[in-house]
Amino acid sequence: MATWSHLLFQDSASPTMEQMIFFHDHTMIILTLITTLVVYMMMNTMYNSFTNRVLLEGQEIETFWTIIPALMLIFIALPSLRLLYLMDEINNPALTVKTIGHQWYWSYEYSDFSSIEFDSYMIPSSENLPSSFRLLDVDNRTILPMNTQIRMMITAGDVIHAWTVPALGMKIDAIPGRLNQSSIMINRPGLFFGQCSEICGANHSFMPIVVESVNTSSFIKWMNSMVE
Amino acid sequence: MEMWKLKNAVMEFSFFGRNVEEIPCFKSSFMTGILSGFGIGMAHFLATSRVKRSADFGFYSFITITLVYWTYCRYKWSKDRFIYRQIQSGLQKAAVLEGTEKDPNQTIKLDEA
Repeated sequence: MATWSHLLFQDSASPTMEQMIFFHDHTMIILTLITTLVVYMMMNTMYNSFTNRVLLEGQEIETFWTIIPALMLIFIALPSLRLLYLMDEINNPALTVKTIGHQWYWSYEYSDFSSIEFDSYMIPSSENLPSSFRLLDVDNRTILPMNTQIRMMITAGDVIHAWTVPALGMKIDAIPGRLNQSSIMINRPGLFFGQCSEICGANHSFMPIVVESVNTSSFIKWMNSMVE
Repeated sequence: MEMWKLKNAVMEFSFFGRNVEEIPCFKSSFMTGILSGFGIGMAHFLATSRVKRSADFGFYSFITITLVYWTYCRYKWSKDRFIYRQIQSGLQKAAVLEGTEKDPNQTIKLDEA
């Protein structure tokens, strides 16, 4: 989860987020080099004494500075499109979880094997333990098995919300009357935190999401305990 | 961009929040770019004795070589990583199927053993 000085990505917990971090590294290197180049050129221009009162055009340099940026954009676009289509690949999810956003809590349904439904409310600060995370911990976490393809179906019951888990690279709008679908695979156990990402009223900041990734046998035991 | 910071008594350089040691191809690209740029700039200066133009040559060479090498290195790394993941997935499946009828490494039929 993010701590107080955490500005950029959290460590990835899914292959999709891992690829996004690699793409981010690639793009930031290109941007940093372009910025360095432009700053160098600006310094050169400011600190030289060349003058040309009749400078009108320069066909060669204009061709150069059109083609080179186009090539740079292609170098950025190719990995970007690759990742975009990778995220839409067809896979066979083993589990489907439905998420419904309400004012101001999330509810989850696991209907595949037996009907399990529960609500997930934020634990108020007054009831927090010293070891809890303020404004992030919930009473019922979303338990998901790791190394398993999971289909998430997200909708809302009243106004628009957004289900977000940065460590999994997911941010999906929860829109009333619409089912949005996404596929995730969590490749390590742990707790992954997120917060509602679409303004939805007074307590928009107080409806967090906690995904708890466990191994398959623990997940099956949990499902059995919820059914009983 | 955060500067140098000490972590567990080891110096760590962050590039936009990421430790540069964790970015594949970062070190090789920048080392190649910096050394090539310096070399080309120095060679140009030795040949022409023009300081500013040599510095420009050196710098633009650094930018170009770093970008080109970075793109090539990341593409190659991405292809290799795909093969590693296939091997890893195959090994995991073989470990799960070991001792069963579908064991890919079995040499003796189970009913003959």
